[in-house]
Amino acid sequence: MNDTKKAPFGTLIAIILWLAMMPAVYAQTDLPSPTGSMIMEQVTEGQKASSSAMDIQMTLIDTKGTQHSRRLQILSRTESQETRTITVFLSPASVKNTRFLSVERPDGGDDQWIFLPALGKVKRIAASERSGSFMGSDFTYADMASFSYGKDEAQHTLLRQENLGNHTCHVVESIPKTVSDYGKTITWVDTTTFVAIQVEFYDSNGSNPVKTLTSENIQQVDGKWVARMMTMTTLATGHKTHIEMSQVTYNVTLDPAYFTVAFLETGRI
Amino acid sequence: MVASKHAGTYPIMWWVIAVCLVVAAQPVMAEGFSSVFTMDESSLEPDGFDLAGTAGFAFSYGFEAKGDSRVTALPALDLDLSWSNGENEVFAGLTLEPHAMDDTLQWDEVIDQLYLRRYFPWGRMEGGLMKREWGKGDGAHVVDPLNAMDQRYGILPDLNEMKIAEMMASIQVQKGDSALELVYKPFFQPMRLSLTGDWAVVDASMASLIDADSVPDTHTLAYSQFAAHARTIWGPADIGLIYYYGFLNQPGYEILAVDPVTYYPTSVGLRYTQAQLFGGEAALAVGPFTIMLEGGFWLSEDSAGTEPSLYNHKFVYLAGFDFTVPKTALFVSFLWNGQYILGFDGLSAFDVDSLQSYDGKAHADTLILTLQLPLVDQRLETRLTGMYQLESSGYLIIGACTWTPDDDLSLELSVNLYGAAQGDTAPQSVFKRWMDNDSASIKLNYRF
Repeated sequence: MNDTKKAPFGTLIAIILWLAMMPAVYAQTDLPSPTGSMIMEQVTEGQKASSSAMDIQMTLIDTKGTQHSRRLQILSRTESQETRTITVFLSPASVKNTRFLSVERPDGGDDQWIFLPALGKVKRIAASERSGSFMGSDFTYADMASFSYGKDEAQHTLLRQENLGNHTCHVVESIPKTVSDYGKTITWVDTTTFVAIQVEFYDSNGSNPVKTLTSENIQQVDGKWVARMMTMTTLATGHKTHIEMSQVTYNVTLDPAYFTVAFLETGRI
Repeated sequence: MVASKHAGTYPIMWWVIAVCLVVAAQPVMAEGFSSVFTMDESSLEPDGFDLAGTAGFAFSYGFEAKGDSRVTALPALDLDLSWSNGENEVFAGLTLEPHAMDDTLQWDEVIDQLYLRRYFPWGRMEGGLMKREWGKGDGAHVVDPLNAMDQRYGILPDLNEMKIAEMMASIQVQKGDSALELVYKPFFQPMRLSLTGDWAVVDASMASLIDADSVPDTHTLAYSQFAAHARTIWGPADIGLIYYYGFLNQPGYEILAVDPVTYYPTSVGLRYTQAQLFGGEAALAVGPFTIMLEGGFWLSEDSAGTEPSLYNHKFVYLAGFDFTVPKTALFVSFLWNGQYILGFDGLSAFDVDSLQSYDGKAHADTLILTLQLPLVDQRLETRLTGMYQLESSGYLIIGACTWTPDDDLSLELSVNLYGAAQGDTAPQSVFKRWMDNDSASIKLNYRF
């Protein structure tokens, strides 16, 4: 009996002691309390892979609910800090065989080319077109490259922690250090998987949200947590773009010949 | 119309078709990254045949046309047939699209392109009836010598649609992002022009002088041409070098007979000028702009520039940029292109160089501005193109509005307006000749 009374008391003492010692433990082991920057670094790390391959169904949904579907495949490969991404549209007929190649270099000098089958010619496109709609969707070309700013690309501030649906999330505000399409973003990051569950994109003043991205169906693929369904909504119009990844794989061996202007032109390696 | 004698017969076409059929009897493969993704997706087509195209019709209204030619109602069918087994590819583009109600389509107008292509680890080989686009300009080029233009129906919004497919064989060697293409063209296809009717490019009196028997047969090996195109990526720029050995596709003329009293020509014969093009191209991304540059030198067989029936040497140049206006989807493209004819003073009325000059000047410059704005979630595309020829003050304005209610159906309204400085002393140009050809059209197209 006494033993049973002692046990909770002892446990309580232990908890109090642990709580009291916690700052000291952090100090001794240099474990930092999570900051916005650390969280977004985790998000970026979670997205990193030497290569990836995605087969995507993209559905454009207007305010009347009318849907238009596109099917595309995206391959990405990183080598020597240079990331090359090739996107190929498979349907519908109006955009079939449209191909897009982007090269992101570590020095920030990006190159982009597009192949439009109607022209039968590869065209280099400038950075300004990165803010343009990606094939009529609510995503810009820049959004397709990344939904979040890297650790050093923005000033990240952890605003709070809150529940969003079934997810416990860090809420992080990111203000880009250089001129960007968005004045700021607020990202809800799952505390366990570090997947961005929701992102609000703000106008250039950072005062009004212009788009919202929501993620669903979080699954682990090749050791990485991935949102297999995402929806981007343009708030002013109510137009939505829904993305569903029917196939996704990471760290797969991809022939470098896919990531060339020659492939862009011919669709063959 | 200016055309070669043998435009209707092309034995090589049957050879191409036969080879296409033989190559087509090969195994097939799927499209997309089939080696990366599993093949259980129903939308991946299990065989290598593909049929795509558009069907529709167009109503056109000529504002200043007379009588029955004021309104035209024409059907249009474009079919793209392709087959591939990975290493081999066959493509046939068929266009059943008459330009006028009394138009008689020739086979080489119906077959837009027909070629077979073989891929190798080092590049590709191809042959057939093909179109090529060399140069970095947005649609307009000055170093794009392989396909002549069909100008019998004015200037189309897409200049590449005016190109005439030509028989050619090509071999392309690829190494990374660099490529070298060598092209052989057995025959020569001159530019197609109207000498009479609404789209005539010369006075009727001049057209009547042409001796039909003097039209050269350009479908002989004596008119063979060769071209090379090397290109690579150099830092933030795509650059290329172009060489062409062949003929200027704009016809010239030589005087066959003159009136003994007035010395005015009573008969002229068509003649083509042998020439070489040494050209370069570059596309460069600078901040928000894509800069486009082309330049070249046409070296004429008339090295001294003294033969009036042959075109002189000339420089050609193009500079421009395009960009998307930040925070909008407005796409802006601006091009300035021109030429400078060496040794041309504009004083001789019978110098063929006067055919390619405006107002007797050695230089000729044209500005092209295009604005494109997608609206309503990109379902409504508005486009305005203005072309202004400086020396003649000639212009063309093309306005178009395309509504795409779904991915397959489109309705296009367009207006073409030609104009130029007026009056007897105003410089002559095609813009002035075509001033009465303003029109509006409605096109309905279904894509399949």
